Amino acid sequence: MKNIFKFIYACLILSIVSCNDAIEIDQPGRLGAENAFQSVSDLRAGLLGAYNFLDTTNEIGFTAAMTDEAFRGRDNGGQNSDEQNFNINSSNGYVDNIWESYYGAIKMATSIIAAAPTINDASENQVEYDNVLGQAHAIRAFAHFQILTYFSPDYTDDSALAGILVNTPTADIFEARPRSTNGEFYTQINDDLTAAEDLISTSEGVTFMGLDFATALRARMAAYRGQYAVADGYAASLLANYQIANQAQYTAMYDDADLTEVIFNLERAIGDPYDRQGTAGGGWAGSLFGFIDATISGGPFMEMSRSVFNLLDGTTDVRLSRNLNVAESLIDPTYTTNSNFLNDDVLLVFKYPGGGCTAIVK
Amino acid sequence: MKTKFTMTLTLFMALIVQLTFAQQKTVSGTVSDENGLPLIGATVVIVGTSSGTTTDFDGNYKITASQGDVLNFSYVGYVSQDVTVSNSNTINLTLNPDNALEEIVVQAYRTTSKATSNIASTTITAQTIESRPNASFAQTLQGQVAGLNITTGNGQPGGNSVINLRGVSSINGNTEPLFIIDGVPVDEDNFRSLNPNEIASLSVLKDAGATAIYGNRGANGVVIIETKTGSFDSGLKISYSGLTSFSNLQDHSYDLMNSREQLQLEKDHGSGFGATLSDIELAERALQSNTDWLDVFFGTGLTKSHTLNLSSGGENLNSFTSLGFHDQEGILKGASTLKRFNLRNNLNGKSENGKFRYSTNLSLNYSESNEANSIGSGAINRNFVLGANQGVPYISPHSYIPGEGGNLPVVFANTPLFLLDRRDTYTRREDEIKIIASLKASYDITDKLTFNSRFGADFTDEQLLRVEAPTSFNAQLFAQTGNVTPGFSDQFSYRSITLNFNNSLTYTNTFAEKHSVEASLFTEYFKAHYREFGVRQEGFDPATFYPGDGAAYIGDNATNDNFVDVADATIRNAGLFSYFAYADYDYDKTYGVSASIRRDASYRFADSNKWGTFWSVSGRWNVSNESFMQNVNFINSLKLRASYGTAGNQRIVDIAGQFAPFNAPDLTKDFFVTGGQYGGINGLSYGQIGNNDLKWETIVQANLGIDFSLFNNRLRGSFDVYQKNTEDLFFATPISPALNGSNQDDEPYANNDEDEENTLDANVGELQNSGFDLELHYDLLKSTKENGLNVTLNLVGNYNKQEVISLGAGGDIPYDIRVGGVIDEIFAAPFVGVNPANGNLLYENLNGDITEDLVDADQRATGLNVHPDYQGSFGLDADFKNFFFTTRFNYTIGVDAYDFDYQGFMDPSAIGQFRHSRDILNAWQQPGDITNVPSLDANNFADEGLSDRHVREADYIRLRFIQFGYNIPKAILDKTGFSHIRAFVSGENLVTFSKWRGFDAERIQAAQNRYPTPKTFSIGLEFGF
Repeated sequence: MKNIFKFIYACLILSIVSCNDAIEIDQPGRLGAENAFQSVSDLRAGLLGAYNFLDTTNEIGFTAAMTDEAFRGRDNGGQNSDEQNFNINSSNGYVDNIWESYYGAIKMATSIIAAAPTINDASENQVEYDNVLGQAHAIRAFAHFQILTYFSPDYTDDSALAGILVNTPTADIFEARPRSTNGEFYTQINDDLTAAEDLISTSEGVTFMGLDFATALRARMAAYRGQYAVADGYAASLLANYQIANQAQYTAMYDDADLTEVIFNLERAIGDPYDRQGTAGGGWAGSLFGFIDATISGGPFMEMSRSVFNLLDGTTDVRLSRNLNVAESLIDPTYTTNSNFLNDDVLLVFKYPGGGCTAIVK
Repeated sequence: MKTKFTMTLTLFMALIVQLTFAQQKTVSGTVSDENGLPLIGATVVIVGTSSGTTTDFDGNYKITASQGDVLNFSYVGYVSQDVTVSNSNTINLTLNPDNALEEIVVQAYRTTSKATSNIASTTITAQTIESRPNASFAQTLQGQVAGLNITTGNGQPGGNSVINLRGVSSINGNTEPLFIIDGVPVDEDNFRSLNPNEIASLSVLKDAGATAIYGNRGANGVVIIETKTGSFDSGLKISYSGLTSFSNLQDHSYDLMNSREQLQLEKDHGSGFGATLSDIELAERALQSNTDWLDVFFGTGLTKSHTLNLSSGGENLNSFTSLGFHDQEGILKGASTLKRFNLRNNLNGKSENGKFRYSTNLSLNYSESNEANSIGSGAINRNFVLGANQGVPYISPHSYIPGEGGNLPVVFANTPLFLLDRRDTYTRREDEIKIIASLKASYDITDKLTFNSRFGADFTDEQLLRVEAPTSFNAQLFAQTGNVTPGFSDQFSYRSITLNFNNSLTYTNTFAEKHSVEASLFTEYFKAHYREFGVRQEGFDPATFYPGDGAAYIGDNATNDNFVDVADATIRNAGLFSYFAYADYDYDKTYGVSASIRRDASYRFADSNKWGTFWSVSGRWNVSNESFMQNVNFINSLKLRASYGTAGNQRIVDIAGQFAPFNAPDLTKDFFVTGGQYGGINGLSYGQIGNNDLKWETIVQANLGIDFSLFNNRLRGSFDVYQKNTEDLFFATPISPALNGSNQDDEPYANNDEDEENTLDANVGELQNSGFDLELHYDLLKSTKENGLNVTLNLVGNYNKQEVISLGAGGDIPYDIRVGGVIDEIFAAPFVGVNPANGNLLYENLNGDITEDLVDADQRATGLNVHPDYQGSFGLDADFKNFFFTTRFNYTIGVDAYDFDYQGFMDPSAIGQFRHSRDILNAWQQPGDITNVPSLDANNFADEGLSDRHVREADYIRLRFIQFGYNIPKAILDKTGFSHIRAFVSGENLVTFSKWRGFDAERIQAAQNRYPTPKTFSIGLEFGF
């Protein structure tokens, strides 16, 4: 019987002593926010994370559907019907994605900028440190500018509302901040671009933001604001280094085969988070028009609108051969009277060739 | 123990019966229990005399009596019966258990008698669980327990059911009860591997008095399952039960078009294949092919089930062994099966003096299932049900040539062909090993003090194989340019083990005969581990391809990245620790009070609010035991109960499904994740925004109940009213994505579609569920004669009213949830008809004006949702001679949902792509037409989604279960050596009365193209010797 008592005591002791290992559990593979940025290489990793948020396909899809660039196509199963009917609200996928991807990039850029002064090995790697920090400013400038572009009612009015200005990490996760004006946005963007220009000393190639990118963004911003002389000045300085592409180069550019007039483009690779995403999911812009690809059997659900096609038809404009799959499109001159125009007049958007699917799910 | 006690008492009673010898005839027969087993030592007395006898070891008796005498048959724990002696000399009788009086009530960590229980609970016995064709016992339970709402929205054999007790108690968190099998807490979303025929009893604990002692796991109620055991000093008993079932698709009333009608619609509308045909061609095509794709994808599913039980017992050891085999085909042909093998061994042992007792429960289960995935999705190349429901009839299944799937033209109308190809070429198989094991030991340190220890483990190992063959349509379609050997194979291993270790010390004593006290102290340690790893291989050589085998694997090469494999692995750990106490006091079986208190620590809140305290008090008054009630003859027993207390929910984020308990392990922490690549180099990104104030949801529940048994126990039942408030409700609180970025969720098994970017969950809200549970059983006919007709009526019901009391500072989420509303509320503007002038849809806007143009703000709260107000069942049990008959109708009232299937059949933009309902022919054609179907060219369909046009009432009454059977008479069996033989036929879901037009009024999600639960017809045979 004594053994029984020993067993009981052992059980009781065991169950009390071991309680902490059931409660104090750190899940493996967690990188606490406080340990995220400790060295210049961590900042570089964060910068890649910030680039990874940038995605301009939402703008392409939204613009094509809202304007008369594209129209619902043969295989349309309701895609973009809200946009085509100008039925846009806060739950719209494009709107949501534009807002969230750019603010994701802003958060990463701001985190890098805020963490930079605490980095220990900055002085040993000064050039790299400056380049990373400079690009973080450039990303933040670009992201703020895209937000302004899609959410401000009037670019030329500095007192119009833009988006929410973020230049420091928020301490209170439940904080609600009012929208800032265009003027405040332009000031912040200019400050960030100036910082970028001060810090960036070497070019890392066309897929990373360099000094020319900053100049180009200034040019675009000035043009949007109606400051055309200023825009012209920036543009002229760039045109010295970047020729306008000829027709062959222009065509090749959309196949990623020519960079003549490219100042900056986002790198996209097989297996990256944007590889083969679905409709309006961003990444591959071709998925915004065809379920599979830009061929006649590729499930075209958004086609080139007739109003665009009629402008280009019969011209030698490179935009006809680049933007339309001329070989496979079905062109029906009687489209205005043919009740079966949906099947007989199929204008395939060819600007973004590639592969992918949506109603069809990989 | 109970059996032994019963035996002793029976013998004692036998002794006081004086045997008499008179000049009358001899009456003899056999007394058996409800299972046909002999009752040994049952008392037979001639009413009004002291003459009597007892039955022998075979249940036989002989008594001398005269015609017209009334014989009273009694046995402790069974309802006594009176039979008048007729001219026959034989009276065989079956006694039924007396549920009202001596029923054992299973409670948390203890049992009591029904009379001395303070809690609200319902116990279901093996009888109602056995021999049903449902692979998961949860489906069988449906409608049997007042307040337990079980919805199975999935016809997959062994598919998961959603189980809610007394309403949905949480918005984000787990809302399903804690399931405990033989003392082991198990995953409530995975019962497919378990054999329902092993279950002896299942008890549902409802009120705080019952569940508070489970602390942070007891918030949604507790279901305690005990499996069968052997008994001491009994011979070998062998019993077999077999069941064969045929399942079929339930009916719909969508009135779908045939080939000709569909083609004509396309032609008239000018889209799709029909638009390209002349009238003659159209007629020819309609004759050539008129396919109902429902018949192609759905068919009869055959189920075979066998269980063999063996039990025996010696003086100090008894055992129960069960072997089970179950092979079930779902009605979705070729894509939905479950096969399982079960072995269980339960052992009970004790020391010579009975002071030390132990038991082990070991359950080994293996199952193989082929579970169709992507069900309910809009993927035309993945969701079989989409092809079955929406495939156009003018396409023939013969247009698909096996092996040639890669050549199918990609147009929507070919949807069913893509899916035929997928059925042929796609493999999905889950092999699961599930082991549930427990060891329980008790030692009586003194007469009054007992130490108990219980250790249990639930182990699950699941191997998932998912293969897309290289020649399949999908593989060919997604193949990169130039890739001639596509296809992929996912091989994943998921493994979890949960360990539970409970120790307790119990003191029981009785003072001055009338004062009984029981008090216990407990500690409980819970730890769980989850491991997952797997790899996706890309590329197969068709020459050596076999699903799951690596011979055909294509390696990576220098030219492209088409054959790069992707590996995946996850580790998660979970743990809880608790100490708690329980005390119960009884005075003369007339008054009783109990109290419990529990301190709980959860790993989820280790950094915020580690410890929580939960408690309860409960009491009862057995009114019928009072002296002033002794003259009230129609009341056999009457008891009032009351309880109040709290329980917690630490699973504050719960994505339904297996392994869900491992979700959201450290929401208190801010962290970054690596992996977002740019330019082929790993980046770093923020991962989770922590909430450092996280804590339990606490459920405060008050319960008042009455248990009664009236009119000679002919009317039995209970009635409970409850109010359940969920405090610190974990709810999405808006945060600014502009300031916080998007909140990336890296949980690999999370499939939460919630828009997490805009919100962070916090303990801010409050929710109330209140209502009543009613359970009634009435013996309508109770024959005093042997082989007479007995009929018992049963009614089980629950009413639950839900109200959101608070949603915290963020308040209402527009068109989603509101204070004063209900969970999953439908927000919509009324659809009022079609404009006779132009055929556009007409809606009522917020101002009450009729409009063609809705805005978001016109959506308004309707108070409607998919959770029922009233639900339960009614039916009857009857027996006559050796025949028995059971029916149960289930009902739900107050269920509304969007009929998205119907919306699909009425969608003009799908003309040329999918099948339509004939209702669409009523569409508006020209000015002046009065109809409720809009013009096919109406230009405001976009606003339809903001309206209630497709909201439908889904209340139903369903003949959930019907059974008719026959017990071979004892007299015949005696010559064969069998102790009982029973044969029956039964049906599940045979008839449903509902306004819902779809296949299955019972489904929790409103999504389109889901897998409906089937109707099933079964034949069963049981015997024992």
